[in-house]
Amino acid sequence: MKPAPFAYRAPTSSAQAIALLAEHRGRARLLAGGQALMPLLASRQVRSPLLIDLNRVPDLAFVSRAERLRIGALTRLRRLEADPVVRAGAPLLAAAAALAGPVQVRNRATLGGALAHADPAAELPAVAVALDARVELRGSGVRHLPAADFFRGAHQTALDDGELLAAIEFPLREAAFAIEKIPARPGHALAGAVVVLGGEDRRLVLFGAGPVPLRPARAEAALAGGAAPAEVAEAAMADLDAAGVPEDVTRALARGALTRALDRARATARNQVDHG
Amino acid sequence: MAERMTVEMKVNGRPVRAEVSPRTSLADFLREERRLTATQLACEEGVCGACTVSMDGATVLSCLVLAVQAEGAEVWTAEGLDGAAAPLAEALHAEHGIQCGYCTPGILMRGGELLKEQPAPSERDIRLGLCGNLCRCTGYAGIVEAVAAAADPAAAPGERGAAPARREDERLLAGRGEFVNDVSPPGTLHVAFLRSTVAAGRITRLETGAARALEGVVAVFTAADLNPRAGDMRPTPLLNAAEPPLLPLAADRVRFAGEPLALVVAGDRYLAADAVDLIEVEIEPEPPVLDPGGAVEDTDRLVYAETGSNLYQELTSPIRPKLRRALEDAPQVVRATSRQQRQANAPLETRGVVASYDPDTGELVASLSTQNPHEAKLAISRVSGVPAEQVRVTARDVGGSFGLKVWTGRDELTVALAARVLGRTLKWIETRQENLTASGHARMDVGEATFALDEQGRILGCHLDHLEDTGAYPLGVVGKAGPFVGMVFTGPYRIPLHAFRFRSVRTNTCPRGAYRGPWAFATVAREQMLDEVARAVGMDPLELRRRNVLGPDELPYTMPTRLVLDHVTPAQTLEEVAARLDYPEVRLRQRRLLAEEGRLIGVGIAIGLEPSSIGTMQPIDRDTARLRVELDGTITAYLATGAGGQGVETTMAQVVAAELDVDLDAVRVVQGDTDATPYGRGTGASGTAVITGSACRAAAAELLTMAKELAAEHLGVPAERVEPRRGVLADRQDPGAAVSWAELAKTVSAHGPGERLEALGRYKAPPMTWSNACHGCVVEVDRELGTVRIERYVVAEDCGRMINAKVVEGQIAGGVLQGIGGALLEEVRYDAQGRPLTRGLAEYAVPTTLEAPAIEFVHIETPSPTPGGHKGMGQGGAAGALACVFNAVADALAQVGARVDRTPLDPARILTAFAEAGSRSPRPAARPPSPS
Repeated sequence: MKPAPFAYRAPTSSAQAIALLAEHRGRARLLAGGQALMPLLASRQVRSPLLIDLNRVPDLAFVSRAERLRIGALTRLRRLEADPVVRAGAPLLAAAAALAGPVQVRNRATLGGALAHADPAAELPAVAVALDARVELRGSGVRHLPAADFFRGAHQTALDDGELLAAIEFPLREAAFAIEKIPARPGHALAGAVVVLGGEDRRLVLFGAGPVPLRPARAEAALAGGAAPAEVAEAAMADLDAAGVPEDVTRALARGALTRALDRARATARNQVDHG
Repeated sequence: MAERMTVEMKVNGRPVRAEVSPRTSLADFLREERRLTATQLACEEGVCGACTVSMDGATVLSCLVLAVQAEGAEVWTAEGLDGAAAPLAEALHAEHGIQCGYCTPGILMRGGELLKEQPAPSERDIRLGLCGNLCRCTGYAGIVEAVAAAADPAAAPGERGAAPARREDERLLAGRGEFVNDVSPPGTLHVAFLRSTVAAGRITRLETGAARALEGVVAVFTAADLNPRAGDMRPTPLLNAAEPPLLPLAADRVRFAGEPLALVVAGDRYLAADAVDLIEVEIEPEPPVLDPGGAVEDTDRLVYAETGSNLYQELTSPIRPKLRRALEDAPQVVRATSRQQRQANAPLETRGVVASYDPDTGELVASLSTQNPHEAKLAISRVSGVPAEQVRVTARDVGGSFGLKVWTGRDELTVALAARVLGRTLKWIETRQENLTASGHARMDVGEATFALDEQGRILGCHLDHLEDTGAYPLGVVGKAGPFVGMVFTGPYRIPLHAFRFRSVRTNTCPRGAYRGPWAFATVAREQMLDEVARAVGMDPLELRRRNVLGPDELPYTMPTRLVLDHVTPAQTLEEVAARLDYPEVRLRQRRLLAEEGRLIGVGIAIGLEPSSIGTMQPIDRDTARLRVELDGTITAYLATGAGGQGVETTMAQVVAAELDVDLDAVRVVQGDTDATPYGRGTGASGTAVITGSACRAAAAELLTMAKELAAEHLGVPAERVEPRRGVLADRQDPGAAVSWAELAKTVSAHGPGERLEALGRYKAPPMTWSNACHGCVVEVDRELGTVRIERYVVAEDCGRMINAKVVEGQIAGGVLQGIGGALLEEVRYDAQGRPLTRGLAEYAVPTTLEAPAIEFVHIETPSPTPGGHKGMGQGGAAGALACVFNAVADALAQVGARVDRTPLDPARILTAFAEAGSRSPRPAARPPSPS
């Protein structure tokens, strides 16, 4: 469990990092929190002649709020949990960050790293999709993509060789939400569901069942039509069929998680109305 | 790629500047460059938490941070904390939150951060905050209690009477434990193995030229280099002379994915891994034998072509006519199946060896992670050809084992042989992937049993058909552990007739080794099946057990297999558990919650018998202890045991102190060094209290006889009047007349240089010392998610006289959590080609703080007829818990017609059971056919 040799550079600006990426195109890996990449390097499942460490790039670690909540890709998960701006602007993101692993992992792991790793069973990509986040990719230019278009497959994203994920932007919106993860504990999940109920805007996302976070359109329609949680979850199974997700236990878990998350989100929504 | 970079940081407050390779992890930098060895490595993939350090004020996993990334950082390790004085360290000591100590530095770092962030944590906060720190020994109870007590000393559970805190803890808390990876003599070279990724096949090419040519590589050995030089590789002659013989490295064929093909020796572990990468290997794959059931009859696909069969062992006890009649004609006949999955011991510390051969002196010195230093010494001598007198084995701290390190493995022996061949110091520390795929697997049992009962639910007889998968290189476990399952299957029940068939088959999988209770399947299968029987005959499982369990007036009881059961209390422990759980109330609640809320509650009970200190298991049925009175009057006990977390340095010191009536602090235990200690059995098979303890008593008695004579002379009274009393030897009739142990020691030493007051004690165990326990738990199964939550867990146990109640509870709690892991989480898996799927602790999930229930204990102390009245109890928790939790889940599922017959009961299996129940139409049970 020792990585193959690599060279190491630690740029101090995103411009330098992008220049290094361009210079070593296809032969370099970006190192953020390292919580996913380092084990892959240590087991030599991943080899990279060069590591470009982003941890010394100050312009990638920030939380700011204007008309959107804007979070630098190098922001550590532990900060997302605690930062009052994040907790006020995207409480679901703060809650999900706390589920992403034990404290030692969250102390180091970053939001950008969690999204770029694109683990199909991870909660943060699902939350990014559920909150309609927008990712900012910087390379020779800058492009913005909706989170739903960023995830292309299991551990595959829209990032190209010369790009880095610079920031993630979340719309500021009042909404009731719930995240349900199985097993319900920090760390690796089998499956889960995220529910966001913001007035007319109802978003459901399943994770673990399929290669990318999946928004079940039929289930969202059923929800809009006033269906009960179990019926919504039933409709979500039809969405998984349509997406070609095979019939297996992960699906059943996702279904259970969705039912549970809907119950909780509705209870929160009622509570908010009562107290509103 | 020999790029080096300069890094500057502060470590434990001191500025440090060093040249490192970019790929050096912070953990390796601290351990190897700075020699700060408190920080441990146990997974190298960020799962276990053993390498937790603090960096710039936040804990990080130092295996996932590069040393170069710590440039300018402030790093703190456990060595930099205030040792045992820190409040958390004190609390861990007081609450027995430490066993092997391998996880302890990580717990100190994370626990310290938690207390800083949350000065008044709830229990949930503590469990969440420590869920990234794995402990395989304690069941987490003492750790969680310690953090709570450190936050609020008033929360400490209070007095613990006859349970002194452990004396092992001080060094472990200070990060001064010495595990094998902490041993690094000057000039140490590092070993890595190339292993087969193919389960079965013929090696067609093995090209090592490029690896040999790599700078920094000292040697590359293949089968051709080492196999001809190897002596007998059996870890002990006790184990069956497994034809065909075991060899260091695979020669022509590979028989499991993980089998070693070549051994590389290089300047550091990184280079050794680089060299392994450069070896070119081609294996022509063949269809592997994977299914143990199919393997029995299969004559086309053979693990060993020369044997003609995959059947390794078979033992059948005949079904006599009375039993046959019962199985055919009894009023009620029930057949039940139990399948136990393949598991891994997964101690936090993997295996390892540092072996050094000096060609000038002809001496071979080896440090090992082992339970049994003396047997390791003999095995190394046999393999390497170095005479036993010139082999020395040391084993200081062992980071958990649970049977894995009871015998010395093929890989450790191969490294020792390579050290002999090279004449150098070689170090091999097993990677977690190797540990989970190539060290030893366990369980892998299938049992089918038929029970005959009368109308009242009294068991008239039973038959067990037991099949075990022994893997590619049968290690046996301890001689005949497999057949032993059948021998003790009827357990604590009045079952007059019993027969069994035992079969063991080879497969192209990792060899089966010993794991906490090699006989555990007897308890697991029987207790699971009894619940199945209860359901089949429509009787409550508690009632079925009450009707069949042996009562106090039926002892001694001769089992159908002629084993005699005595000094046990199965019926009493059963009643204790039923009372603690408030069983009738739980049943009412169960029905109410199902009817009113659709919730699934389940109750499980399991009674276990633990055969300990078995007098027929040479060579671990006996032990020797040497006691020496030092010139300052303190007593040193020299024992052959090893420090694997059982607290032997504490409990054996307690035994000696009590026998000699001296202060506990006046007794020191020396173990884990074959040069310093007499030959003995090591630590394992639940034998320390009875066997080693009795050897200590024998030595103390001998020492007292000598001391009384000397004191009598000194005091001018007859020896019969002398007695040990509070640290001195005193005249019974004149309390003022006494002589100290120091004076006696000096008297003897005056006879000449090297003369000491010392005595040797030996003990050989009686045929069997049984301990017993009953486990009970209440669970809730989530109908939508298939997850299981343990609400309550009770253990009523009888291990005879307890030396240290906290050590006893720690052993049980650790066993229980391993049993829970087996019931709900852990499974070693292969794909259809026999390639391992569980290669790390992320895939082989062991329980964390979040899965560990609080355990309620009831102790019954029925003395055994051995000198101290103790009984062994290190293993039974794992067997009892697995059956108990299984039964509780099965009980919950049965309410909606869902059935399970195998572990682990993970969400997938439970949801599948629900789905099958939904599609199954109820039909009457047919009478099963009689076993053949």
